[in-house]
Amino acid sequence: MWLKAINFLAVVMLFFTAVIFTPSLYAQNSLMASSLTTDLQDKYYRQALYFYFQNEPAKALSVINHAEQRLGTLMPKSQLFKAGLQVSQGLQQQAQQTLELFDTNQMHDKNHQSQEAQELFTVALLALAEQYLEQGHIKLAQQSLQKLTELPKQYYGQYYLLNQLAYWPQTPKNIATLAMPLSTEQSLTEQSLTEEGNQQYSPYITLNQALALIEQQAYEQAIVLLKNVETLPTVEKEKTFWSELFSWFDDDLDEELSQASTQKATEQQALQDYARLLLAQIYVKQENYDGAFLLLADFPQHSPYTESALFLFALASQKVKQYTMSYNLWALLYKKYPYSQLGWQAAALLAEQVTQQKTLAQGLNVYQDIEQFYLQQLSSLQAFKSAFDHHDNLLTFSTSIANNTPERFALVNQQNYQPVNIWLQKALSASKLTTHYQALGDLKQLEQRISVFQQQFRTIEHIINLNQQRNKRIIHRVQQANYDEIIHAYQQQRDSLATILDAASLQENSEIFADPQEQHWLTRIEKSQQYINHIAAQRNIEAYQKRLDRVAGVLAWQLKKPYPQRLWQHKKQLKALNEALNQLTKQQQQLVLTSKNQPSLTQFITRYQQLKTKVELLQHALSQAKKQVSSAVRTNIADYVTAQKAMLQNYLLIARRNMAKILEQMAEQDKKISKQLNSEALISAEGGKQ
Amino acid sequence: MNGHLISASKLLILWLSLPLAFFSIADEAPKSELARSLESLKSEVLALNRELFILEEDLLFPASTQVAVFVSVDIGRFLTLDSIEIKIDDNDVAGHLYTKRQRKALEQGGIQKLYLGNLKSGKHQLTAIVTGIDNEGRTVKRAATYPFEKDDEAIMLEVKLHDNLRNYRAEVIIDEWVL
Repeated sequence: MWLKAINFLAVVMLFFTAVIFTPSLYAQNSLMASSLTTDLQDKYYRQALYFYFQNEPAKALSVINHAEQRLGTLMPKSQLFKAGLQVSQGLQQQAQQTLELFDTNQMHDKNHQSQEAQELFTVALLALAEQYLEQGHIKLAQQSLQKLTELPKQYYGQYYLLNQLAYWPQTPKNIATLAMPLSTEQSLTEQSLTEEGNQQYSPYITLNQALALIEQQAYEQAIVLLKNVETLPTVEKEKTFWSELFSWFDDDLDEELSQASTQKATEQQALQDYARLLLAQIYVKQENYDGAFLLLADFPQHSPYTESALFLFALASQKVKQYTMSYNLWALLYKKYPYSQLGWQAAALLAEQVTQQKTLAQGLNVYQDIEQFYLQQLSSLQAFKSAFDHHDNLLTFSTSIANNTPERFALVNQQNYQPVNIWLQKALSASKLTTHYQALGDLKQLEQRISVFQQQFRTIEHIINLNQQRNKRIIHRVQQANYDEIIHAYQQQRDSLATILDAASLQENSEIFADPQEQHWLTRIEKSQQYINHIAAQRNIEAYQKRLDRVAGVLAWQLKKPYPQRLWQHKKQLKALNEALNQLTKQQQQLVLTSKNQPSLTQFITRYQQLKTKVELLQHALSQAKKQVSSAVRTNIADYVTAQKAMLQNYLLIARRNMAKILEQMAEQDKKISKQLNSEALISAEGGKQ
Repeated sequence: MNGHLISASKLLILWLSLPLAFFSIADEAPKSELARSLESLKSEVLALNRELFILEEDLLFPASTQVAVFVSVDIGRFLTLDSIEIKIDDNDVAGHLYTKRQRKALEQGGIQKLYLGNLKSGKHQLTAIVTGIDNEGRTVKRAATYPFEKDDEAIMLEVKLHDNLRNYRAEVIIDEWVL
C-alpha cells in the first residue's frame, strides 16, 4: 500500500523540475544568451517542459530525445529530466544508463545550478529505487540507493523508508548524509531526521516488523507494535511540498489537495484496520476469543479488510457463545461474498452450527442449500473458464466501458484493466497476473504507436514520390532549355552596356543619356549637318552652319545639365541588373543542384526503407511478445480456475459427507424410535393380553 | 465441528500470508524476461519515433526553406494569454487558442512550437497578434512585427509575451534564434 502511496515519486521528480527552474531564470538565461548564439539546449528543454506540464510525459521525452539526436549531447538538467521521464514511462534500465552517464562531478560545484542538479539526481534515483522495489528487484533498488551518498533534507524521509525496505529485514549498511548544511534555526541532526522519517512512515515499517514477529511466533512483541499502529494519529504531509507542486493549477489546487488528503486519510484508515485485524488474528491464535470479539466489534464496514474481519468476528463470536450473532454472520458472509474462499468456508460453518444447535433435519436443509451453492459456483467457474478460453482479445474480455483514447505518444498504458467478471477480478488480485495484464496493455499501446508510424510512412512515401516527380520535371526542363547559354547571352549584353557606360563616363559623353525627344533633336541636327555639308559646294552655308551650331550648342548644354544625375541613374540600373543576373545565376545553379539532387533523395529513400524494415521487425517482435504474454495469462487463469475448482469440490465433498453423516444419524434415530415404538407396542400388546 | 475450526484457522494463516508477502519484500525477484523484452520494445519504439520524426522533418522542412515559430511567456502577470495569431507576409500561417493548462505550462517556462513551415529565400515579415485579458479584466490585443531575411539556414523565431515592469504592461517581443 505504501508503494502505491509513494507512486507519485516519479511525478514529484518531474514536477520538481518545474519548481526549481523558474521563468525568471529563463529570462536571465535568454538575456545572457541573446548576445551570443541561442542556447538551443535550453530551448529544447523548455519545449519538453511545455508537454510535461500538460501531463504528456511521453511527448516530453520525445522532445528530449529529438534534442539529443539533433544536438549530439544533452546538458545535465536535460539528462536528469530525461531520466525522470524514462522512469515515468517504465524504462528503468534506460533511466539507470542515463543516470550513470550523468557526470556526478558537476553536482559537487557549489553553485545554484549544481544544487538543482543534485536534487534532480536525488529524486530520479529515489523514483527509480521505488519502482524497482515495487517490482521486487531488491538488488537493483539497493544499487540505486547506494548511489546516493548525500541528499537534501526534504528527501531524507523517503530515502530512509526506501532504504529500510530495500534491506529488509537487515539494517541498511550505508546511510547517506545530508547534502546541505543547515542553519542554526534548523539545527537538526541526522539522527533526528532519521527519527522523523521513521515516524512519518512508521506505520509501514512497524507493520512489517510486526509481521516478522508473527512469523517468529513472538506474539507479545507483535501485539505491542500493532497497538501502536492502531492508535497512530494521522500524519500531515508537509504543505510546502504539495502546495508548491500544484501551485500552478490555481483552480484545480483545491481539488488536487482534497484528493491527496482523502487518499491519505483512506490509506491511514486501511493501515489501522490491517493492524487491528492482525491483532485479532493473534488473539484467536492465543485463544483469547473475548479479546478478538471486542476488538472487531466496531470494525469499519467499509474497509479493504471487511471480509476477513467479518470472518474472524464470526469465529470469535461463536467461540464466546454468541451463537445467534455467529449464525447471522456466517449467513451474511456466504451470501455477500459468494466468490470468496472465506464465503465458502462460512457456508460450511453455518451448516455445521445449524446441525449442532438445531435439528438434524434443519441441518440437512442448510447442507442441501450450500451443496446447491457450491454446485452453482462450480458451474459459474466453468462458464467463466470456457468464455475466457474462447475470447481472443484478452483486454476486451468482460469489459463494460469503452476505453478512452489513450495519449498518442504514451509508452505506458494508463488505464487499468477492470473486468466485470468477478472470477477474473479475483484472479487479478494475484500480482503476477496483474503484471501480465499491465504488459498486455503496454503492448497494445505500442501497437497503436506502430500504426501511427505506418500512417507516417504512407505520408513519407507520398512525399518521396512527389519529390521524385518534381525532380524529373526539373531535369526535363533543364535538358530542354539551355539556361547556361541564355544567361551567358544576358551577361554579354550587360557587359556591353557596362562598356558603353564606362566609356560615356570617361568621355563625359552626355549624348548617350539623351531621352527620345533629345535623341530626335540630335538626329535632326545630324541630318541638318549632313544637308549643310551636301549643299556646301553650291551655296553659302555660313549662316546655316552658325544657326545649326547654336542649336547644337543649346542641345549640348541641355544634355550636359542632367548628365551627372543620368550617369548615376544608369550606374544604379546597371547595379540592379548585376543583382538580377546574380540572382538568376543562383537560381540556375539551384536548378542544376536540384536536378542533380537524386543522391540526396536516394538517401531519404534508404533511410525510409531502413526504418520500414525496423518497424516490420518490431511489429513481429510485438506480436510474439503479445502471444507470449497472452499464453502466460491463459496459463495463470487455468491454474487459478483449477485451484478454485479443487477448493470448491473439496467443500462440496465435505458438505456431502456431512449430509451423509446426518442421514445416517437420522436413520439411527429413526431406528431407535421405531425400536422404541416397537418395544412400546410389544409391551402394550403384552399388557392387553394379560 | 473441531475439524472445521482447525481448517478455519489454517485458512486464516493462508489469508495472512498474502499481505505478509506484500509487505515483506526481502526475496529478490530477478527481472523477468518479459519485463526486459517489454522495456527493450519500448526503447526501440522510442528510437524509431525519433528517427521517423527527424526523417519527416528533414524531408518536409529542409533547412533551406524551414521556418519555425515558437511561443513563450515571461511570467505573464500583466496579461493572461488567450490566443495568438501568426502571419508571415500578411498570410495567416498559424493560430492557437490556449487552454488553461497550456497557458500555465507557458507561464512555468515551457516553450510551444507553434508553427513549422517552408519559406522561399528572401525578405519576409512576421506579425504576431496576441489577445489576452489584462489585470482589470479587459480584453486587450498586443502585436509585433519582425522583418527577417530567409537564406539557406533554417530560421527560428520566438514570440515572447513579456511583462514590462516600467509601464506595467505586457508586450510582445519577437526574437530570432541565432543558430
